[in-house]
Amino acid sequence: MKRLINIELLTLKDSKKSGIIFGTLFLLFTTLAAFFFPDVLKAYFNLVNEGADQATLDNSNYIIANIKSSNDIVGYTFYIAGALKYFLALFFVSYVLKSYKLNTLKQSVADGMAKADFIKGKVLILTCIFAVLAMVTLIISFIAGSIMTENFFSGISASSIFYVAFGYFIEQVTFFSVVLLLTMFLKKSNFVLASIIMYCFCGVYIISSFLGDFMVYLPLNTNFFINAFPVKKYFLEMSITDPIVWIGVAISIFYIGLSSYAARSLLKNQNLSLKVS
Amino acid sequence: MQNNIILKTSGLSKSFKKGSPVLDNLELELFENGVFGLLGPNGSGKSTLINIILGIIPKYEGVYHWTDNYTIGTLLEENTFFNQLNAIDNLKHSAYIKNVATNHLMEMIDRVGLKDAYKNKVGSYSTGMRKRLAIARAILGDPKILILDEPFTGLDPIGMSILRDVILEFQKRPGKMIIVSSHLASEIKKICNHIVLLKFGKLLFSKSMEEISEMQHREQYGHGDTTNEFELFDNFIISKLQHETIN
Repeated sequence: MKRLINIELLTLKDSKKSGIIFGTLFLLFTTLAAFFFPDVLKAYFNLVNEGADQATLDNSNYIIANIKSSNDIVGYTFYIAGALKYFLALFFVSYVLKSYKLNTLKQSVADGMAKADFIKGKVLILTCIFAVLAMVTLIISFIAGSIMTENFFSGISASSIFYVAFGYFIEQVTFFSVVLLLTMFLKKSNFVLASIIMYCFCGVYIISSFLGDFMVYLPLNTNFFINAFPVKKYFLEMSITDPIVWIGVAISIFYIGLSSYAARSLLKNQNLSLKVS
Repeated sequence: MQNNIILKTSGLSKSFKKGSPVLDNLELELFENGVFGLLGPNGSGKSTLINIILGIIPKYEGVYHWTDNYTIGTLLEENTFFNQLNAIDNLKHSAYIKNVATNHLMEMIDRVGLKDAYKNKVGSYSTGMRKRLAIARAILGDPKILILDEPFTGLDPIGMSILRDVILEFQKRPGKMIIVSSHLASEIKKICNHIVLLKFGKLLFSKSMEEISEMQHREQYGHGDTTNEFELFDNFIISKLQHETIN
C-alpha cells in the first residue's frame, strides 16, 4: 500500500502546479463559504419571505435565527467544499490521462506493475486526498465558527460533525471513483467533463422523472442521499433526523468497488501501445 | 551445455487490421545467456512482439510463456518520463514500480553520465540524455532480463558507447538474457550473440552469430568490394530481407 501511495505521490508531484492552483482555490472558496454563506442564505430567505405565507415565514425565520449555530457552520462549509468536486474533476481527469498521454502507464506495465495496482493506487490516493481535505475543511469551519459565534465549541455535537465529515469523504471518493472509470473509458478530458456535467445537472433529473426518489441511488448522486445537510435543511425544508444514512454509505462503497473493478477490467483489455492524444 | 529456455512463443499472431497481420504465427525460443538482436525493417513486428511479451498489448492469437517469474528491465521506444520531475525522482518512481531499493539511484545516474544534470527537470533533457536515463531505468534493480526497443535511436557516440558497455557488462554475468530490437544491423552485430530476423511479421530465421558467420562464408560473403565485417553483415541482412522467401 505504501509503495502504491509513493508511486502516486511522485505522479502528483509532476502535476505540482495544478495541485497548488487547486489547493489555493479550495482554501479560498471554502474559507469564503465558511464566513459568508450565512449572509448569502439570509439574503436568499429575505427574498423568499416577500409575499410568503405564515408557515414559510416561520420556517425562514427559524433558519435565519439558527443559521450560525455551530453544527450548521460545519455543515454548510462541508457542503461548499463538496460542491468544489466539479472543479477538482478537471485536475483529476488530466492527472489520470497524463499516464496515457505520457505513456508512463505503458512503461509502468512494462516494468512489471500489475494493471490492478494502477487502479488501486488511484483509489488509494483519492482516499488520502479526501481524508486530508476533510480535515482541512473541518479546521476552516472551526476557525470560521470560533470567529463568528460565541461558545462555538460548546455548541458542537461530536457525532454530527463526524457524520458530516465522513459523509463528505465517502461521497467524494465515490464520485471520483466513477470519474476514474469514465476517464479510462473515454480517454478525452473534454468528453469526460461534459459527460459528468450533463449527467449531474440534467441527466439525473430526467432519470428522476422515471425513477422518482430512486434517483438518489444513482452514481454521482449519492451525496444527496448520504449527506446533503444544507440543501435538505434550508432549501427543501426537510427535517433531518439522521445526519447520515448508512444505506447510502453502503451503496457508495458498492459504487467504489464496482467502478474500481470495471476500471481494472477495462484497463486489462486496453492496448497501451496505441497513442492517446 | 544447453541454456535454459526463458521465453517461448507458439503461433503468436497479431493483426490490427483484418487480413494484414503484424505478427504472423511466430515460433520462437529465447534462452538464458543469450543477447538476441531482433532485426527487421520498419513494420516487421519487432515492437509489436516486445509489446505483447511485456503485457502492453493484451489481445493476440497464439501463446507466449515466460518459464519463470523473471524481473525485467525495459527501454521502450518512446523514452517516457515525468517531464516536471528530475532524474532522481523519475528513477525513484520506477524503483517503486519494480519494488526495488532506492538507495543506489545516484550511482545509476553517474553510470550513464548524467551526474551534472540530475537536478534538472527531465523535460529539459535532449533526446540522447533521455535515452541515457532510460538505460539507467532499464538496469535499475539488476533485472534478470533486459528488453531494449530501438535503443540506439537518438544516441550520440558517447551514449552509444555507454549503452554498449552496459549491455556487455550485463551479458558477462551468467543467467541473464537481453533482447535488443533495432534496424541497425551493424550495431546489433557489435553486441548480440544471436539474431532473430523478422519480415512482415514472420520469422525469417533465428540463429547464433556463429551460424550466421558460417552462412555468410557458405554464401560467399566477404568477396565483395568491402572487407569490413559490419558492412558485410549489413549486406548479408539486407540480402536476406530482399531475397529470402517466407515459408
